[in-house]
Amino acid sequence: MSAQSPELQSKISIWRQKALEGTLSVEELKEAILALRAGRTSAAHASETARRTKAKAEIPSADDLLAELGNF
Amino acid sequence: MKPAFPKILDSTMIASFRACPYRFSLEYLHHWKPKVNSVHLHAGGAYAKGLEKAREAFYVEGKTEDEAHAIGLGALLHTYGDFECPADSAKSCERMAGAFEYYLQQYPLANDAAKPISLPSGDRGIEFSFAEPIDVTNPETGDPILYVGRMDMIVEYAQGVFGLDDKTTSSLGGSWSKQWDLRSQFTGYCWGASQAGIPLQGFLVRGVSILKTKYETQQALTYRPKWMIDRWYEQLLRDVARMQQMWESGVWDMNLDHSCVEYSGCVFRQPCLSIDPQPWLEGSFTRRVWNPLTRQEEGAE
Repeated sequence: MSAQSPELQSKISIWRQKALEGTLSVEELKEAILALRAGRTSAAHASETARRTKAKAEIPSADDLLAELGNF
Repeated sequence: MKPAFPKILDSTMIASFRACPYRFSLEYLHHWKPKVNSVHLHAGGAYAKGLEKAREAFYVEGKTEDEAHAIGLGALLHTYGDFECPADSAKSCERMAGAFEYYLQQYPLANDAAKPISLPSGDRGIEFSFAEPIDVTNPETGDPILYVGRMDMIVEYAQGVFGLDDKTTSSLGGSWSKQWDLRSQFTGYCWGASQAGIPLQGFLVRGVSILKTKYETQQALTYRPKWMIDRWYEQLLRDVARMQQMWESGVWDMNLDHSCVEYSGCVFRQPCLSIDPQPWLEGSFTRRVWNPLTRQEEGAE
């Protein structure tokens, strides 16, 4: 899995080609910086969210647990 | 015919010689290089060019941070060019561009604690180069051999003056910061800067790791007191004297041990596995000359 979406990678390819041709403007490069930043923070958020998600198990109540102890 | 003895040496060449003198002779005297450029060298060069141009735009030309970022990215993309990144490498143009943006978020130009100094010439300490004679003469010309270096920045940091070096890597672990304390590259840079009239307390090393889904960074501050620099210099002279002895005899010592397998393996492994290395060299390698001043490989004449 890459941090960069296919859409961003496609944009980078275009910017790369324009850089080689010498036709890439400063404004386009500013846009590229913002896109790279957005892609990175988006990927970091997605990765963090996936890491924090856990299978939810039903937590028994304290009363139920005490009741079980009373049965011994 | 004996190849020319180097007139200029740098940390890369000395490291090669210390790892394996025979490898050094193939790489830097006969100029044999793999036909395909190293992705690490190429990507690292593009990344460094991006940071250089961003810093120049901000600190020298007075551009805004946004403009400086954009100019730097343009330089990175242009330098990376149409190089085909190997499929198993993380150092694609896209990932290097991402690493560049990440670095400038972590160490903003306007608020970086490490700022390039103003040199006596009026220039800022960005991509500082030195070329200083050492106390060994070239056996062919009789001129002093030059030891050269080029550091990313000289900065004011933590109430001192330090060199700054940016590194990219595949991982930053707990031991990453410990590997720089005896690093000859940095001791040599401190020697060179001192010879040029700019004493450094040591080096600030910034690493950015390029992982599959994220980037990380670490900084390490490594000091170089005078006794360490003096010791490094004496060792350099001994190494160059050994180099000259091997050049004169035509017999180059071989490591035949750990140097053959470190860092993904020596590029000359196959020729060394053959009783006659020449066909391997001529078939699998090309001649490119390492320029220590530009830290780039150039076509052989």
